[in-house]
Amino acid sequence: MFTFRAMNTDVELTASGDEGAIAARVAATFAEAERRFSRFREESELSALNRADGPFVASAELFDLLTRARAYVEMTDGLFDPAVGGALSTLGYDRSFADGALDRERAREPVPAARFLDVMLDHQARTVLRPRHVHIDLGGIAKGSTVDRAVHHLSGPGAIDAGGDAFMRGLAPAGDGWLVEIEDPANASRTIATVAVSDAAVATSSGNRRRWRVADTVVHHLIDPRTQAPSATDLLQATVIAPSTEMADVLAKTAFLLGAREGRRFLERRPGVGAVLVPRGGGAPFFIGEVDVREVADA
Amino acid sequence: MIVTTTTERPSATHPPAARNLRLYLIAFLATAYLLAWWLFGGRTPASHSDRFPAEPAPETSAGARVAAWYHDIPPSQRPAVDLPAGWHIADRTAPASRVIRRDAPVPVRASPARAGRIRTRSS
Repeated sequence: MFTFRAMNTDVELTASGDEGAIAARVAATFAEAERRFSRFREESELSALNRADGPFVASAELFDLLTRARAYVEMTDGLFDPAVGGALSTLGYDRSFADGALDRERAREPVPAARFLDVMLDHQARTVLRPRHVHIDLGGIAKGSTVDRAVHHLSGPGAIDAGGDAFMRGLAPAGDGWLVEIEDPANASRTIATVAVSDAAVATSSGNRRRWRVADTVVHHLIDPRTQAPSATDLLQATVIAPSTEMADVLAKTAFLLGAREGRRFLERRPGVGAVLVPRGGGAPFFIGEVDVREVADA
Repeated sequence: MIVTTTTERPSATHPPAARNLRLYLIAFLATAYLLAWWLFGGRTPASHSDRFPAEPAPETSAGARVAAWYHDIPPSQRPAVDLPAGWHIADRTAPASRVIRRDAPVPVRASPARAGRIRTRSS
């Protein structure tokens, strides 16, 4: 196994074959994606887009990701919306997260509600026209898509895990599916369930991490586009297993924002998708769709 | 007496000999153009090391170099360079490849807690 740090998280890689060489290529893929898609780097292409005051000619990579993001916005009826960058910045999340680094005594002035659907994508000219108040944050979807791209460097079975957004190719070294332990959101040292995954991705959304203090309130990074504020949902955590990491990340966020009942309905309509939802209040996790459950922790 | 009449066809703009000459001329010019393109313009691009030969910079009549790779200058004499974020100083031996990969993280080998297991959490 090899590990490196990128996108403000620990990336772990297990690969068959020349693992060191594969790890170097995977690390280069992450570095390139971070240079392009980070909203915290002044010189990134995304930052340039967020500063642009007119039509912005995007690289093929950025334009493709924005196009896919738009499709996810439509698929989730706007619950997944990369235009929450302004709301996050208002809350103080305007730099890479670190414990205590975002704490502040007062919130900034609220920004006008922003919708990604107001961003115009011209496929002919490959230009992006962004209303001034819309600031795009591609954090989760960019990480998921980077994992998906990095998986192409694997020459055989292997796994790439970027801080909980992971893709598992083929079978694990033991000859079975890769065992994915789902962290207990109420106690990070515990595992709430273990599922077996092969040739699929997994991603988890929860408000238990990336929390900071604004005046007397503790906030988290999962913004509900309907309120432009941190979500108040009856779920503690949503884990989704999907054909791609990018999709798993989007669906986990959406299910988390929808809550237990609507989240279940939303996920049950997606073929080839499984999920483990953890309700707030200490109830047992419930499983949706195609999930190969191996262990469930005692309540 | 039999009289035959023939409808006079408009004569060709160029007689056959002139037309052949023109075709030969076009073929000759096209061949010359392709030959020149192959010789001077269409060859495989030189590699980075060909395009950036690692040879000493030209010298002035006084013997002082007019250009040098940054890393060839003794550290104590290197000028302070304030680069924009994301820019790097190229290296003389591999000007492009090293620049591209300089900020890529270096993976390190680690021992998995348990092989074949992944832990997912909110990221």
